[in-house]
Amino acid sequence: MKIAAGTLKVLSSSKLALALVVLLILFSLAGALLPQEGMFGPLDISRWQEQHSTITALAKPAGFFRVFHSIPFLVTIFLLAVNILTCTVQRFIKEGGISSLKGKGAVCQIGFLILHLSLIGIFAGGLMSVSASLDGYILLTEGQGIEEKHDSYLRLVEGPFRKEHHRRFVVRLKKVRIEYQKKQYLTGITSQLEILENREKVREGTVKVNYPFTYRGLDFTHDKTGFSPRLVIRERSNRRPLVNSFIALKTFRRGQVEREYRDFLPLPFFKQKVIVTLYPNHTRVDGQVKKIGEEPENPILLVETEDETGKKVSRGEIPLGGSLVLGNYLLGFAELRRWTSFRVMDDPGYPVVWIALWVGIAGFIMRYIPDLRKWFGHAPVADKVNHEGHEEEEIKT
Amino acid sequence: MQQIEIILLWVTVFIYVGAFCIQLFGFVSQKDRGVSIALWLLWLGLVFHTALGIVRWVAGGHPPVTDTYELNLTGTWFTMLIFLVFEKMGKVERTIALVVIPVVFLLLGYGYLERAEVTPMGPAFQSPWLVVHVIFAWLAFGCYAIATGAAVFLLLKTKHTSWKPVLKIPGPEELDLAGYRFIVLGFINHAVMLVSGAIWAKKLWGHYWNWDPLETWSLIAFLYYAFYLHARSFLGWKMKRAAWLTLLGLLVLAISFWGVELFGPTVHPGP
Repeated sequence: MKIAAGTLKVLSSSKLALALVVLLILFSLAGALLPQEGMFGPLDISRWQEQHSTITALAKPAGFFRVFHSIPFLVTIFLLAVNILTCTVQRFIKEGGISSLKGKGAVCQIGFLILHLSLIGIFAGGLMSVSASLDGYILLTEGQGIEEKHDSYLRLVEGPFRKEHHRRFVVRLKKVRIEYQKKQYLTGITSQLEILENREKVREGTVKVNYPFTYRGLDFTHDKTGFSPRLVIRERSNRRPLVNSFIALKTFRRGQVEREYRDFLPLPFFKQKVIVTLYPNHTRVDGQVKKIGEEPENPILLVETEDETGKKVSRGEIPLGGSLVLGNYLLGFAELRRWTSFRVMDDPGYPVVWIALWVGIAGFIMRYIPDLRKWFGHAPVADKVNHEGHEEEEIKT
Repeated sequence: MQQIEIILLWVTVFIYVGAFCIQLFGFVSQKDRGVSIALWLLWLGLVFHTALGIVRWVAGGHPPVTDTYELNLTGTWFTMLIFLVFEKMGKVERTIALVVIPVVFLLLGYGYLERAEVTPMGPAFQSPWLVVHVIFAWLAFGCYAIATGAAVFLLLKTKHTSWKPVLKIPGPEELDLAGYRFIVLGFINHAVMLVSGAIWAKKLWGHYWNWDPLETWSLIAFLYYAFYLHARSFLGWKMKRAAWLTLLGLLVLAISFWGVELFGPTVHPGP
């Protein structure tokens, strides 16, 4: 009994609350200063770790490269939730329980209760998000449809308490429309989607940046976009096609407006590394290809090959509908479409967090407004020069 | 940048700098007239500042909130507005302008150095949450900046008790209370900024919290001020301790607004 009372005393201590807030600040600092897994690519992280070996030696064993999923961080959050709950309940009882919600100071007291309980709501919602959500990415080229199942995702994270179940409907990307101002500033991306169930079209929808599309609890949020040229590779000797497929080129941003569409082709039958760069709209200046816009008005593919040392071996260009000889192979550029990637989320924690956030704001206002109202009711500071001491007691936080 | 915009920017900066010099002179020489003139100049500066914001808004076709220059322009406008309105209401000591004005013109100058050409609004910014998020972010910043001003004068007042200029400003207790109140006000705005940011992030990136460095720094600043409020209540950290906490708070805030990109890439458009 004594142990339980002692534990409760420690857990409901305001000093523990302060210590936990300081700990949270330290964890957040680690998360903001060290590259976090999931936010950065594995290569970027290992490069950073090589450059900062001393910090890495300390931070890596503590799990600080995935700090917001580490056990110490989760324990701190859990302890803070328990601390807030016990502190709030204890203070509520100490100040007269239900009777404290009446009369003078009631608004402030209710605000205090609502504010702190909403924090528990945010933690609970956050826990639901971490443990029971589906968070994945899919990539579709115009005209392509894929079934909503595990293997269709480029990257998929499912919470430990989420039962593996997929909707198995087919999502198809009909068209991607991109708007530019002055031919270079991207001002709008719209992807038209089609949902098919049992091969029947059941719904159409659009995904715009900031405006996701929801179907059967799954939110499709716009992620990235780019170009997918259809490449046809044939053997030169017998013209037998080896590859006939859309290749989603990566989109690299250079500064505010400049974009580059490039990738290398994983061709096992070709010894050299083949890198293709797409210029959606080009012109020629002194014989050199120059990009003049982002709209696919006059596209051309630049094909470069590199040997094992990274040295450029050859360079060629293929206009749309044309082809290029590449050793014993013929590389054709048959068609050009756009691709879009979507973040697909099913997060049962979000409604809880959403409600708790707004309830928290209401609690905030109720808690502090009476305090601030007193301030505005007071005489101006100019009249109170050399005034000694506080005119009012601050209400406990 | 248009010619008119550059002219308006420099006029605004010169008026603010002039107001600062006159107020500093008035403060040191204990001449109330200097302080009053400085305040009138600040109102005049705010008029030009407003005109500058409108010109930028018209030129860009959207509220000036999409790059560092525009955000600093808007943020400093809010900071100056909050200060002048509260001063007019008699809720803030006018001498605090000596801290607020340098913050404003330094940020305007920094924004000018980082200036970007007028660009159309990118798709990520085309959200009704943008205005809510940005307004509350800068209201919070303005309140915290004024609280920092109160903290500076509290420390000055307690350190140089016999220095004549500081005798005229209110007592440390009043400055402490004013600092606390502005932090409370800033904290409420900060909370609304985080909530609106979370809802916007859900629509934009699919998740309400992505642990992006800028998001995380913003949370650090929020937790820091939560610590301030609780330390004040539970540990009795008032006066000098609270003032030092407030000063450090502005540093944390500055990192969350402008310093995050120094540490690494962020998906959140800056500051």
